[in-house]
Amino acid sequence: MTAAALPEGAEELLRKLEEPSDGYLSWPLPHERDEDCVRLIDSFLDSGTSERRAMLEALSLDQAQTLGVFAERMASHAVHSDSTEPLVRGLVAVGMAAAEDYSKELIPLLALFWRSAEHLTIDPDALFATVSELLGDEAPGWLLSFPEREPANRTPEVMMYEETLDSSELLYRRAW
Amino acid sequence: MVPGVLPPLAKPSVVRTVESDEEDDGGDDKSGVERFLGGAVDLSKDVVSAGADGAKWTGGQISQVPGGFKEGVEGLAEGGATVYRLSSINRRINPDSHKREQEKLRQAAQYAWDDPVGFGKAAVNYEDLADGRYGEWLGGLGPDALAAAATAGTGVAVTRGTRAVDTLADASDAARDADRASDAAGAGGGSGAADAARELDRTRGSTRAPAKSPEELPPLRADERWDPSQGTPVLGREPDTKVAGDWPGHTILALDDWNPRKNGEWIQSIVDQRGEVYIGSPTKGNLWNPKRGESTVFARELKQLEDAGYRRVGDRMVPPKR
Repeated sequence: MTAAALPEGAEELLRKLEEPSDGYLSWPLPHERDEDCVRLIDSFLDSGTSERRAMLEALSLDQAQTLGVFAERMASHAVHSDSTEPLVRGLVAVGMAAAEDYSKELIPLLALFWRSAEHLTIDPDALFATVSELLGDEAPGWLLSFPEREPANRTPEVMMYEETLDSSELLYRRAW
Repeated sequence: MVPGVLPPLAKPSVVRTVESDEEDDGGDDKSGVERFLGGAVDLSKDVVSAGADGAKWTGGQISQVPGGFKEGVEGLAEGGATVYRLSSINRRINPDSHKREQEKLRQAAQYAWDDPVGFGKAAVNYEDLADGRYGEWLGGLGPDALAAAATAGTGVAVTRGTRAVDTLADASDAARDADRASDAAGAGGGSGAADAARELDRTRGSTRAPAKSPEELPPLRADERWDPSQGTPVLGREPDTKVAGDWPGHTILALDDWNPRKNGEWIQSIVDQRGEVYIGSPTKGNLWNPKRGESTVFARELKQLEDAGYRRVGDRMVPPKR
């Protein structure tokens, strides 16, 4: 049974993500819900292959959407806090969310991570390679191949996001 | 007070207050951030000899004083940056960032202590006050004050921030939210993410901050357009469409360089050729993302078809009759 293979505490962490979070995208940064996501992601990263698979199989669309929104928030949080960790966890969250959410919802987020890595002046290629490694077998193909895109085809703008540098909240907003 | 020596526990108390935040997240009624902010105000009131009525300090000014250390130098003033980075929740999510911000604050406090006159003059901006330009004075206060600290001994030229400041309520709300969040249990584990981040930090400086990105979007190539010979196009979430995509006579858009515009053009190519579309996911629960407060991409795809006159028949969207 899938539930038996879940890592210790993962069930509780998954349940946390099901708590009402309408409008989570626009909640203040950072927020307690972000911590719930961080714990789940860290639990995922600390788990073995079969446990990871079990976690992803247990993921609902609702939880996957929460992870997707968490990822989008972390792309901004990393820049605000001048820190790489949120980028790593956020991109891992994208990979996890891919187990249940529509890839067309998630691919645009990759461009935000690329841009935020540039803001932090870290190597975006290395970021994607690192996260691909962390995700292992669970890394979606579109995440693995993202660095190979033409530069013009991995920008927030091409993913129809607008960037606002004068905000202490979300740096990127969908413009579609 | 002796210049060059940080005070013990009395005002100015910035350094002590922040350090004590490490040990105590709620020993009194004020949050750690609020206690720190109080310390920042007290410090500045001590060193500003005239014109800076403490009651007129707003949250925006307060939050920009230490947070503006970096922003002041780079001209990137961000109201609330310090509240943000020094917040207890950021300490848990992002301990390195929190430590760095503490160190910046310590340096600023040290400079302000060593050179209260220079710090005070920068903080006051007598010209704006004299002319009644309170807005400009407030907006420029944080960056200037921090610029004074940042440029000590370096000679870096700094411009005053022009960004409108936030209100006191904004700052105190942010501090309250941050402290409330800190009541949650600490994040555990995660050594994988932290280690990876530390490795990546070694690449800092290897990439230039982005310039204005090109606006041109690569259009869908002719060979990427849908063609009836490819079979019935399938729309929907992968967990639902994985099977359908393998069915003979069905196809899923799978572009390595997918982007929203190309997606729209691909659907338009179906419309242009009056193709029927197989809907692989149920519409219930898949059209609205409550976390985002927005329609889903799937909903937009269906709308594009509906706008072209398509109607739902069972699991398919069929084109309008000629």
